Amino acid sequence: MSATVELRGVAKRFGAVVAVDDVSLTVQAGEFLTLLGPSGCGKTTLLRMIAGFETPDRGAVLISGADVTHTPSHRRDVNQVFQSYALFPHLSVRGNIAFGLRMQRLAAGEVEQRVAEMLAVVALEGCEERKPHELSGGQRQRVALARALAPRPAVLLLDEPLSALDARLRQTMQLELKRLQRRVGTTFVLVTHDQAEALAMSDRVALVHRGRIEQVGTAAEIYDRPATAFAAEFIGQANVLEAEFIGRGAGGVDLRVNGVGELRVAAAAWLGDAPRARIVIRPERIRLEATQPAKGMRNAFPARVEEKIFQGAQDRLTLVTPGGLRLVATAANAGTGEGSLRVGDSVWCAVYPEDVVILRQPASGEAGRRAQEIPGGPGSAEPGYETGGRASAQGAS
Amino acid sequence: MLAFLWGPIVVLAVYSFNTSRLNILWEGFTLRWYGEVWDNAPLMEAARTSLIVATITTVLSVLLGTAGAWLLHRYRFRGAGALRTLVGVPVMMPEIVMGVSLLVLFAAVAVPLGFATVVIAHVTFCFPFVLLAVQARLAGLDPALEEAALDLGATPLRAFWLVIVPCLRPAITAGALLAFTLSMDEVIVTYFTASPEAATLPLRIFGLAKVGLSPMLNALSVLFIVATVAVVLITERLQKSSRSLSSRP
Repeated sequence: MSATVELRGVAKRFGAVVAVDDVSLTVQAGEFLTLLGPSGCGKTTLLRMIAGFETPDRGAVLISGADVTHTPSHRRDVNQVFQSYALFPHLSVRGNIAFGLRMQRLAAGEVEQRVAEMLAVVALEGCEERKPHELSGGQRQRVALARALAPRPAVLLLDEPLSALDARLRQTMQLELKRLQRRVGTTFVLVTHDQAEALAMSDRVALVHRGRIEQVGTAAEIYDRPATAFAAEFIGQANVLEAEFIGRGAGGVDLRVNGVGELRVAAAAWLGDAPRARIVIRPERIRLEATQPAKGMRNAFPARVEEKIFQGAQDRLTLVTPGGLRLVATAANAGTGEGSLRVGDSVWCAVYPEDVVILRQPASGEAGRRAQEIPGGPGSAEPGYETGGRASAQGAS
Repeated sequence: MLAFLWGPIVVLAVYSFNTSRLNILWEGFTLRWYGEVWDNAPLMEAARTSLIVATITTVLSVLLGTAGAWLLHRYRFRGAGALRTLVGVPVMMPEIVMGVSLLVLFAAVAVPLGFATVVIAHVTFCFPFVLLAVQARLAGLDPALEEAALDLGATPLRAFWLVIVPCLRPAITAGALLAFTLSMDEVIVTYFTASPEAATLPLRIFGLAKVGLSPMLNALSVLFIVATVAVVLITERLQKSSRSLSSRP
C-alpha cells in the first residue's frame, strides 16, 4: 500500500487562533479515512489544506508522493464534495458532472461516456437535463458525488456531505457511500462531527481535537483502546476515573480507584513510574450481578442504582458506589420480569482486568512534565501521538 | 395614487395625437407630430448621440461595476471597506455637484468637452449602480461555488467566467438596464460636460422646451415613456428570475 495523502507537520493559524497545530497524517491508497472531531477542532482546515484552499504556515502536503504544499487547487489531483454541494445552478446535471472533464479538455465523446458512467454509478440515469433546483436533497448529493468523481481524482474529499440530509436518508447514504467507495476504489477523506457516521463508514478514524490529532486507528481500536480521555468520551460513552498505582501483580498492575477500591488491570506497560493515571471503563463492560461474586474475586464492588434511562434495547444506569463514585453502566432490556433492575436496587459490579484501559496521559496535576520524562513512551508508533499527551494535559488542567 | 402618477402622462399621450398646435383643444387625430420628430434632423442626431453614449456607458459600467464588485467581494485588502463606502456615496450625491465637479476636473486637466467627456461623466455616475446590484447578488452567492470550480480544475479566470458570471447574470443585466436608462435621460451632469456637437437628446429637448412647447415634444416624450416602461418591465422580470436562481437548499 502506498500513501495517497501525506501531511507532514502542518500548522495553520488564523490571527490569534491556532486552527491546526503540527499535524502529521498518512492516508493510504484506497482507504476511507475520517477526520472526526467537534466543530472548530481544525478538521475542516485540514481538509482545505489537502484541497488547496488553505496553505499551511509550516509543514508539507503530499499527494501521491508529490509535494503540493504550494500548488493551487485547480492543479491538484483532488476533488471535493462540498457541505452545501455547491452545484452550479445554471448548469444541468450533465453540465455539472461534465465540468471537471471539460476543464481537463477531454474529447466530447469521452466526456459523454464518462458522464453516462457516473450517472450509472450514482443511479441518476434520466436526470441529465434537470437543473439542480429541480432535484431533491439526496439527488443533489449524488450529483455532487458524481461531479467530484468524474475526473477520477487520486483523493476524494467529503466535507460533512450528509449533514444536510434528514436522519433516515443519512443512514441510507452512509451505506451507499461506503459501497461506492469500495466499488470505485478511490481514496476518500471525510470530515464529520458525527461519530456514528465515522464509525459506520471509515476504515480508519483520525480524531481531531484542538488542532491536533488525538488518535488514529480503526473505529474498534479507538473505542476499545482510547488513548486519551477526549478520545474515550468523544466516541461512545466512558467512565473516566482517576487511579493510583499500588503495585504489580500476576498479569497486570493493581490500582486504587477512589470510591471503588482496588482494581487489577491487565496492563502491558504501566506509564513508567507515574504514581497516578486515568483509566477508562466502558459502560457495557461493567458486568452487573444480583449477588456478590465468589469471595476473594478481584475487581468486584457493590453499588446502588440511582437512575435508569430507557433506551430501547438496553437501559442506561447511573450507579453509585458506597464510596460515592458515580458510574455509568448499561443493562440489556430484560422486560419487567425477574432480573430487571429498578432504581434503588443494590447490585454487584465486576470488571475484567482486560476491560480497563489506562490512558496514555498521566492524571491531571502531574501534567505534561511526566509525559516528557518517558522517552519513546507508549504510543510513539503512531504519528501525532507523541504530542497528543501534551495537548490533552493542557486541556485537562 | 395611480391617477396622480399616470394622469399627466395620459394627458400628454392623448395630446401627442392632437391635430391642434395648442395643447388645450382636441381637434382631431393625427400622427403628424411623430412624423415631425422623425424629420427633425438635429433631434434625430441628438437621439443617435444619446443611444451611442448610453450603449458605450452601459458596456463600460458593466465591466467596471462587475469587476469592482468581484474584487471588493473576493479579495480582502487594506481599505476595502473605505473603498466600498466611497463607491456608494456618489449614488446619493446631487447630480449638480457631480456635474460641476466633473467640469472643474476636465477644465483642470484641459480635456476639451465633447463626446468623450460625456461618456466619462455618464460612466462615473452609472457604474456604481451596476456595482451595487452585482454586490448584492454576490453577497447571497455560496462561496463554495468558486471553490468547486477551482477544485474541478478551472483556473481562477475560468472559474469567474464559467461559474460566477452566469450566476451574476440577472444582476448584471438589471444593472446594465439601469445604467442605460440613467444615461439615456440624464440632463444635469451632461449639461456641464457636453459640447454643442455632443448634445444628447434630453439636452436638445431641454433646449426646445425653452423656446416654446410644441406638440412635437409631446410625441417625443411619449416615445421616451414607452421605452422606459419597456426597460422597467424587463428589469422586473429579470429580478424575478434572479430570485429563483438564488434560492438554495
